Amino acid sequence: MKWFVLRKVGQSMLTLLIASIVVFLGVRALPGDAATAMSSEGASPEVLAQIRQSYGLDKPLPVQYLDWVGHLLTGDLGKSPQTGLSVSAVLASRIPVTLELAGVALLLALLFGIPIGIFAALKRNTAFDYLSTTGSMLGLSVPHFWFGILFILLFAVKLHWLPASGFVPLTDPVANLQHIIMPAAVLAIGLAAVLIPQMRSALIQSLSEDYIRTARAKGLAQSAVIGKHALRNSLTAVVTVVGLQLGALISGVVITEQIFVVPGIGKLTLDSVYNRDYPMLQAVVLITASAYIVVNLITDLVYSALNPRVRIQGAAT
Amino acid sequence: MTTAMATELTPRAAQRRRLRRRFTRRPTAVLGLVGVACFVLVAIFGPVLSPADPDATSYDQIFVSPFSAGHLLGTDDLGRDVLSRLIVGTRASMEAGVLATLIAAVIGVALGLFAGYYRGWLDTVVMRTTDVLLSFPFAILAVGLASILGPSLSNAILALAISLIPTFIRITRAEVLGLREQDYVQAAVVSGASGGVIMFGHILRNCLTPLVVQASVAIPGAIIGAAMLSFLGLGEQPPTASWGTMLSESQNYLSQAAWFAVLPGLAIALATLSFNMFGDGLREVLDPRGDQ
Repeated sequence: MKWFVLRKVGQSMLTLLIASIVVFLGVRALPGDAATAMSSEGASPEVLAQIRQSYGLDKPLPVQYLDWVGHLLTGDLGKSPQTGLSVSAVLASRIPVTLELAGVALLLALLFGIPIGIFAALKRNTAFDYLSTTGSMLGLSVPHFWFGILFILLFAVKLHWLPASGFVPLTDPVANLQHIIMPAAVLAIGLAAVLIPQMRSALIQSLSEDYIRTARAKGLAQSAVIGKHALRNSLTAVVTVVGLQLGALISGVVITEQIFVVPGIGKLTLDSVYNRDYPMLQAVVLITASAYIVVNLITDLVYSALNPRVRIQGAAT
Repeated sequence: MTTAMATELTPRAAQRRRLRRRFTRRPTAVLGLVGVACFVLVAIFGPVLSPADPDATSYDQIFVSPFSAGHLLGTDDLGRDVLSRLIVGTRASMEAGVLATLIAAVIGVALGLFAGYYRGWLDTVVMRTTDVLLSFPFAILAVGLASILGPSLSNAILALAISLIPTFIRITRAEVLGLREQDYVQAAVVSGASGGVIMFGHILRNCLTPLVVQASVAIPGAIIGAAMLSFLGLGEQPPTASWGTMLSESQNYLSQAAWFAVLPGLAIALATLSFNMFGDGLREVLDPRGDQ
């Protein structure tokens, strides 16, 4: 197990290193010249040359990369040429917003998804089961951004219950919740749509195991059979699904933040693409990728701790 | 004699009939198939079916409500016929879904076959690249690639294809690793068959099931992805009609013309729902154990 963990961690570090090179080169491969994007329109060649020099853009690419990584390791992510703000300060203000949004979404998804999945498994082939299956299928098929627009239409434009967009910090909890609930619900629908069928089939699977028959045969109450035996085993499957879905959650955050104008890292990514804000874009994509790599690593490790067979198969590949 | 011939089926025909029944037993699968067929037909014959010129603007007929004479689904902010634009936009969505998946499948399967069969440094390079591509969330990878390639429908398709490749590589490779130890593959090796014949002739045909299942998931994913990129201004460019651009244009008129936001989204949702229901049925047919 120790070697397995070390190997997995090493692999993730290598992936992260290559990812940083990909991000660095990818940002430079964006069409348009960085110096032109940074300066005002019609800047003279001298001004452009000066910008290139002050941002180190005149150096060879490998040197630029090493400069960037060197600064990265000391916590210096550079400055946004467009706004003059420090990249790390902007990130520090944006990341908590996205974490809150994703956290509320995850909470909503678990709060609704797990009970619905359990109930669908226990009431198999009833109207409720069909309804939840159809609902999950709809949740998977309907794109996030349309749900977002429909929510705005219904709750903001027609009913005037909630603000259509924007964000209020946690210092005003009520207004904060009013602004965060719609985008979080949109994200939660996508998550729950995956969670419900997984929960349902995992529970049905465990209910058909021999130890459940044994538990029933020895006269255990239905609630104890489900609560103590079946549920515990099916939840491990759900943990893995949630881990794997966090990546999809990050994807959903990008477009959801854009629609609801939530100032998190998803919107920051798109804004940096539109504004050709290279230092910002580099940092935000690398941070997202690192978060994703770490989540995947943890999911991998948790999964293999729960299911030892993976370790042996993993060692063979 | 002839009647006996007609009722007695060859084993292969009987198998085929069994599979067909397993598919048609699910009403959602049949519904999905009908939906997919409709969308594909509209995509092919769109320009013929569209009741009006999708790009003809008319400034005295802006935001005509649906079910009006001459405009069944109303008109948009420039007085263009919404139904015609939806019909013509179908092709861009279908193209994106099918082409992106096809490109990803061809490249991913080939790389997965080579990596899994030859192992060694090739395997290491392919798998590390896959890891790196998978370390970016799908939306960020697609948005990043689309902005590098430049905003257009074909570049959006390419960006989606590249984003879909890693999963095809992983699935193929995992299958190949299991199959290459099988007796029949070893027999082919011993009898002197070349690597290409073994990979494409013997191994590939036995790992088609998970690949078809993956493709059935990838197509609706790519349809949504293409709509998302167009919505963000990184796919099909206005004034060309596409579901994503229509949805993005509608955002500015939510209080004036709600139906204008509802319709293109409904088209995207119906298309992906059809593909998902069809794919579910396909999974049931190909891999009945998965749903027990």
